[in-house]
Amino acid sequence: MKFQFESLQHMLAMGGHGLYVWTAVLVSLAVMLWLVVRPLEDSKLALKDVVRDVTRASNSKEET
Amino acid sequence: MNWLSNWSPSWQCFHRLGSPRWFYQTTGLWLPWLSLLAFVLLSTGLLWGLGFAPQDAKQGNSFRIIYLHVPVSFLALAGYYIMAIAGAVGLIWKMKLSYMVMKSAAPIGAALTFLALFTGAIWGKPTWGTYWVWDARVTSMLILLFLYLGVLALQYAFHSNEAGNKASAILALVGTVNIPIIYKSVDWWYTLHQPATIKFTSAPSMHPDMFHPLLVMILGFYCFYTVALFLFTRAEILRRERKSAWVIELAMARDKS
Repeated sequence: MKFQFESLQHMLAMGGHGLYVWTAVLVSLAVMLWLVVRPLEDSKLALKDVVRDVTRASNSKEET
Repeated sequence: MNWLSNWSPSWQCFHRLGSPRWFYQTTGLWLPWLSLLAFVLLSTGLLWGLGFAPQDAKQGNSFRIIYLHVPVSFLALAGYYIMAIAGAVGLIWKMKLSYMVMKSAAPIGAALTFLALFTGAIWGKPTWGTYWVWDARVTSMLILLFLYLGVLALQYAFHSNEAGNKASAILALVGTVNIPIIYKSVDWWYTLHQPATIKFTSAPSMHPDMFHPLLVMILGFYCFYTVALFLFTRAEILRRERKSAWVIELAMARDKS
């Protein structure tokens, strides 16, 4: 197994196909990142909402 | 139905699997390891495929898109099975967790199907001379994207969760018809898309030096899919179980720290 390119510049160029290959890679990585970040953020938000509801409920109990 | 739960250990297992709390806790233990495995496999496979695999004799370096296109398409299809089976289990056994898995599989499947179409389009330009053709494989994959989006949309189209779940599950099951069409499209209508590179029945039509990194990428994407499905399902569990004692406890503990 050997590295197929003479240099990193050659790897970026991909023999003229660089734009195609790297666009595919970057878009794929961006979508994959979204698939991880989105549910993590959503979980955090869901837990925050639970805390808000609980504190609101206990506050209204104290008032009555 | 009480006798059923005492009937055998496998039924107990089934019931425990159906418990959102059990799912949340168990996947919490697995996630770090699974994420690490996915990361290692995907970075190894990508570096290997993009830098070390020999270039294709006819296509040159544009063929390297295969290392994303094939695994992403694999999981776009496998994910549909998972969504449809989860929908069926929900319909038959009325298992809440199963519906949550179904709902979580929809955005992931849609994202992966989009990527399959997108990487395919980019690969098509230097290879076929065009970004898009109404080829049988491409068109049936576009239908797959609409099925995923349909399942997602139905979830929000009803006021009650129950009705939305049932409608989504039925659409998911009906849409299963599309899956064998996608698989067979390259053989039935031999238009532009090349036949499958990997078959279970015969050796791959690819040099081992090119095939091994692809295999690593496919394994990596299976792990990544599982991670994403767990993460989405966990978020869904927290939303749907927000009134239950264990979620409140978890939220308060997180809030303090």
